[in-house]
Amino acid sequence: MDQSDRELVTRVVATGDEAAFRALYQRHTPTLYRTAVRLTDDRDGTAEDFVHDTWIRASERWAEFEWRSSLRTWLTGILLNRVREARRRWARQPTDELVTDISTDCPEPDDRLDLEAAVAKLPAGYRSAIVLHDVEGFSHEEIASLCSIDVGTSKSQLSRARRALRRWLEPRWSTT
Amino acid sequence: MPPARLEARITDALRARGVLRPSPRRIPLWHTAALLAASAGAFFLGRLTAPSPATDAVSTPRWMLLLYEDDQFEGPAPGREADYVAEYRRWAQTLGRQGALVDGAELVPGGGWLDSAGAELVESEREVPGAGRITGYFVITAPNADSAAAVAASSPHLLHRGRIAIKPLGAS
Repeated sequence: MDQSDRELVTRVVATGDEAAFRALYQRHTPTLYRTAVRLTDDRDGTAEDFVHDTWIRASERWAEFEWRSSLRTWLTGILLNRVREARRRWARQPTDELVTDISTDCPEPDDRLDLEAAVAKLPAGYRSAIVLHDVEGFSHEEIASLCSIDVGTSKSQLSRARRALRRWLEPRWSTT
Repeated sequence: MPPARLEARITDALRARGVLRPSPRRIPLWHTAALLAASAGAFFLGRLTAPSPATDAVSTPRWMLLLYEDDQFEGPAPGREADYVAEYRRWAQTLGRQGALVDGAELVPGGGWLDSAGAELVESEREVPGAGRITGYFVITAPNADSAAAVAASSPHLLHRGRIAIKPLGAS
């Protein structure tokens, strides 16, 4: 029977058990990597670095994790912090706060446009909301905690993101 | 999917930091089971005889976890004591399988303490004034205080609002 995250973390912390860590890695890394790619477009191949740093930071901070959330949520929170730091460095988005005007960032509805590309064009806050909620299945409460925003803001961002995607994609879908 | 090289990259980094070590030698399951069966009633029904620590664990620092209960402690409802026994036992057995458990037992009612005024045994339910009763202990191995704290944090005792003192043990 699969061991719980908690049992595996206990083994890693108590004895440095590499097999236990690899089990944790294999359980959670696909989601972390997918999230990193979707939030950053894998700019400069950095999704791999984000995941690497997430595990390193997590391993430095096991003692701080109080199991009030799932391990997946906690790891994703570390990943999001890393992504925010990178965004600030890249100066693409000054913060992950709510963006209300996306009219200037609309992609052209050409043949290359698809859902992934449209998501990639969303402002950072919208993109986080739709990736975390609609793709990865986090609740608004979890997203609020992860992104340090209100639950209402998370819902608003998701709603606006969906509206934007619909607006961008409908012309294409209505002709196919 | 993440690149295949990523797993090796991360585990290499964690080994270099001393976070990961080769997996400890496992105690055969039959041995663990035999020892546990021989431990009359196991934890909360007597002394928990842990399997001998793995070779790697012998040189690892040892820590005493002292389990305290005070008025905040949420003890078992009448008739549910066995659930608590099973819960603590599962936790201890997990540590035992990892080679991280050296010893552990419930401290049952009775006994008392001596003060500096004399050698007379003073019976008291509150062994440590202001801190509640010490109702059990575990001796574990962990590479450092943070690791010992993480092990303690995984204990069901905290879920029941007990408290745990973590003290390093000197060489015996």
